[in-house]
Amino acid sequence: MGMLHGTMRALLGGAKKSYIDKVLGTDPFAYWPQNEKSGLTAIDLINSPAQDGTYTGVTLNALPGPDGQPTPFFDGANDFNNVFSATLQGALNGSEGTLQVWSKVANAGVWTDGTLRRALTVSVDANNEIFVERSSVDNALRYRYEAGGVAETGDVAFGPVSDWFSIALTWSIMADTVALYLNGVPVAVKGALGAWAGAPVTVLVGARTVAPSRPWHGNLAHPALWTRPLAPAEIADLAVV
Amino acid sequence: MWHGYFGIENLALNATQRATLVAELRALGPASDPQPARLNHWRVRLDGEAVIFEALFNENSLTVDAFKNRLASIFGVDPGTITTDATTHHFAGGDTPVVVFSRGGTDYLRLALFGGVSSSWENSGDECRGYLKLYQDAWELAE
Repeated sequence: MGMLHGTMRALLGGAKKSYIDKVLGTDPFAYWPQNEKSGLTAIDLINSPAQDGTYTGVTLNALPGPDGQPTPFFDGANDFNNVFSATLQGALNGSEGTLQVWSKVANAGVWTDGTLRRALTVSVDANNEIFVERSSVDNALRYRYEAGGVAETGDVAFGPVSDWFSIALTWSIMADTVALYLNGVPVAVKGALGAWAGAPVTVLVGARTVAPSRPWHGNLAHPALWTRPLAPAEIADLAVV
Repeated sequence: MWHGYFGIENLALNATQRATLVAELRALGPASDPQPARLNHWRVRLDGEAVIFEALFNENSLTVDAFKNRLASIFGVDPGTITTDATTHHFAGGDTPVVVFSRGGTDYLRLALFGGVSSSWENSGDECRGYLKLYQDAWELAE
């Protein structure tokens, strides 16, 4: 029902939204295109309103996204999209999954200002969390998958990039693999994962906490979550709009 | 109206006085707006003693006299007994007025109007981000 509802919502939106349909075709369990032009609600195309997010402080319809859809601007001071919900908490799988988000920094200086900027956070606690962020290291992105206190993490050289770029992170306890993809290309693969414990209490687009901590400075689009690690070919396809 | 960022830092208000002031400041700005950015929202420093607000503000609510009146009401005194010391700081190349409010020789509150109320939202944001960068150890969780 959620899938049908999501597809119908996309089709009723007017002109063909081919990228949204592509994402929906991979069966995410949560997907917020973030293409609203007004209001505080970030619609989840999979399960609305149960998994809708709530914007704080963003500027909606600030810039066309990689697919031409409106995207919000996050000001790097106090903006975020809180997508946590009890429904999402129950659906999210910390042992098997994928996150993806399209990102764009506000300006070239963001890559070298030494400030951590969080694109997407899934967190139970300090020992069980998943995130991708702009590293404090110049021209680098940082990923982290930590389960049961065992962290797979690293900084990956990337940037300065002024255009949109796709970030995807897959994790699989069964395959004992965490993989970071940038623009559809695997750039980091690690194994020897720990055992995920607990249900997430924080799921945010554009920040680490709701304080907010490490707010993103730039635009973010199409954040989505899956309960399985997408195949490399799927990741590569989603990196093309 | 001014869309921008301002911050306050508690210097000597007690918990009740601080809560009263923050509650009043959280009520500033429009009751509704299609843009989340223009609705009052805030960020609290890790120690809880400073807050940065952003919204579409009525400039009259952010004047020195407006803050004097707030503090006077909180203290139950004549606003004329509250003194101010104003300086200008530059966090990202802009001009940010900073005012310290005092009474009886005690500094109670520091106010920063990032970029000033004549600045653009972008410039105010630059000043605010510059401030947060400068004091990130106080505002950000450690890596």
